[in-house]
Amino acid sequence: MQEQYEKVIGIDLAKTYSSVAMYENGTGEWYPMNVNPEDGKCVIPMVLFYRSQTKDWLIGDDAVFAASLPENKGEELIFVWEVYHNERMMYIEEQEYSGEELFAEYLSVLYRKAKEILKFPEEEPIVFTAEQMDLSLIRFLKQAMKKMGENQRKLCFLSHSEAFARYVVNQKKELWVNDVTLFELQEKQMLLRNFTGRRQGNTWFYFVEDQELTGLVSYEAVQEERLRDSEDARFCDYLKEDYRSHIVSAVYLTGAGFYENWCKESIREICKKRRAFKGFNLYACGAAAALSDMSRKTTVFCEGTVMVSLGMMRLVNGREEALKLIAAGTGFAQAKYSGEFIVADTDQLKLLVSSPFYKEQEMLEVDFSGISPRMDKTTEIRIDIRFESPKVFTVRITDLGFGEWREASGRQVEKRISLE
Amino acid sequence: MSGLILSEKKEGVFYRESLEEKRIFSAEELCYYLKQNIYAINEDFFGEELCAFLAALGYQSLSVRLLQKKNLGKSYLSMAADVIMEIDYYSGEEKKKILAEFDRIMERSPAQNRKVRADILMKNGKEEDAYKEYKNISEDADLEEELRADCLNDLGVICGAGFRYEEAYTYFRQAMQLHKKQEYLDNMICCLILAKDGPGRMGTEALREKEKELCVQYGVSGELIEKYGIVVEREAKNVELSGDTIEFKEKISPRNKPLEEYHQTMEELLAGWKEDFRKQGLERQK
Repeated sequence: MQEQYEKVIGIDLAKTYSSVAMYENGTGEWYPMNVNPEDGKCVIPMVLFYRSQTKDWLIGDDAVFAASLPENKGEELIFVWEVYHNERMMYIEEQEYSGEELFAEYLSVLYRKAKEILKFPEEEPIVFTAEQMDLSLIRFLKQAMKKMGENQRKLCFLSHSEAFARYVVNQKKELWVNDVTLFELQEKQMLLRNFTGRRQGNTWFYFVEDQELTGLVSYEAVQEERLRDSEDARFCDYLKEDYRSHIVSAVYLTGAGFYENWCKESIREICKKRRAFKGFNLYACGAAAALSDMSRKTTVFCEGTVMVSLGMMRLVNGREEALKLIAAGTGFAQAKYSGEFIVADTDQLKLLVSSPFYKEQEMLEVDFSGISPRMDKTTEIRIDIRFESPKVFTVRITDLGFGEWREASGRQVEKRISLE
Repeated sequence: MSGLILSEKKEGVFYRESLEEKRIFSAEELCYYLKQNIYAINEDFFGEELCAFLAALGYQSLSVRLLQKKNLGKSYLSMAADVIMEIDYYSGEEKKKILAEFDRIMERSPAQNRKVRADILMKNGKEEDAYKEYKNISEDADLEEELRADCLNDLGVICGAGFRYEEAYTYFRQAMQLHKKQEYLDNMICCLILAKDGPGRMGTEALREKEKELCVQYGVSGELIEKYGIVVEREAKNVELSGDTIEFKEKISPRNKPLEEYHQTMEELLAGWKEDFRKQGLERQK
């Protein structure tokens, strides 16, 4: 993430709704996408509907409304994440659709709307965020964007934890001088994310720890007026207990469970020496701010980030020196390296694994004798490193020949390394 | 010291050298090229284009230094030494050896270095350029006789490879007259054996006359020529069985390939030969 971008688009694909925001690097301002200015929530339910009369796809509230119309009776409202996760096949207008294809249709409409509303430039990057960003989701999103003709655009992928961290570090420092907490209440889950800093020497490192709070507050109960006070009281008690030993600067409340204004008492408790914010597009805003200067300067460890630094030994004027490849705290989807090297009488790649918190470092040797390096420094290799999860990466070494003097043999050596 | 040296290239940045017409993409490749071809290059190699290439790769100060040296009329060896020393490709020990070789080049006469350059051209398959270079050197009035004889012998080798046996024999004979050497005599004998048959063959009378000359002047008997013939035949068979020859035969064979593909291969091959022939013709006209 070395390039400097004027604007970055963040797209949050949460379980129940999606949201889009644009971040302007120069001003540090966010521009959320507001589809319906009346509700001001900037979120679009993750549902899809095929309108057979006009033969087009609708998403979000438009889809919900269309599905409720008598003339569309019998047509199904599609829950995008559900069909995607369960790999469900659906027949619409006698055509078969896979879960991925339906998700791609949703994404296509969402992306078209976002381009129309935010008017973002062609060359600016897009950062996707989801609760858990795994390799298959990343592959799917890349393919879907390619199908939309966006194969040149830079794409990045973050977990919600990382998007939250990026959101926090792009706020005024006074808001994250101490810990920052986020409560997310969804239909089936309540989560606490705690952002905290730790100083190591002269450097500050930040962590986001996720804690399961499901059961503390009931999503169903807060939908009912009569049950809200008891839920509020329970939440407030939890906060009071927590604040006895926990110094917090700011609190964020997000998720569909906080749509209704049920936690007045709790908010009063939060606002004693703390700042409280309620919003539903925080992850999209955080994703959009992931490439900002402030994000680059701040190392955050959380779900989805690589916990170690990766380096390698290389020769500089006849001496072995370490070369930094991937910094600790990089999101695993962005944690990659490609470089070309001349082989000087060796068939071993020495990788260095280190942590900012320990002095010791581990050396891993990758044998590439399988590509039969030539003598006299006339073998050039390309080293490609890709993380497939925060703790597993693959090293691929490819013989490149040597300029136009030695042809590449096409030989490759690949090793999968687990940091568990 | 063993290890891996980072090679930093820039997309679309390369330097095309004129000797082998190859593209050089990195500073490391440039060092390799200089070491391999130091006899074949001269001051012209260190032109503005090369300096721009180095600057594009991030070697701005080296680029400026080379231009300054060029303007001051410094030797190309001094400029090549700057490149070798500045770029982290050869080890300290290797750099010392290379610079020692550069010193030896300095000590040799210009004609000796030109001869080495012509040898490299020939090794790289640039016979026409090598021919011109050997010819120029051999016509140098101040040249020592041994070197002139060597150049004449090499001219004979090039002519022989092009089935111009009459011309080749003349060069070998001139070489032998200047400096008696077994290699030149061997070439004279082989030339006569090859000229008996196939393209570029000599007339019976011319052959007999040359065989007589070999016998009278150098004591080469008919029996000895026959023995050489056996060796030449064996070598020819080896060539026939070599991988390159088999590959070439396979390429020009219509067997087991669609007619369209065969025609296309032959057309490409003939077009290449025609182009080579045209270039050679132009060179000769010049």
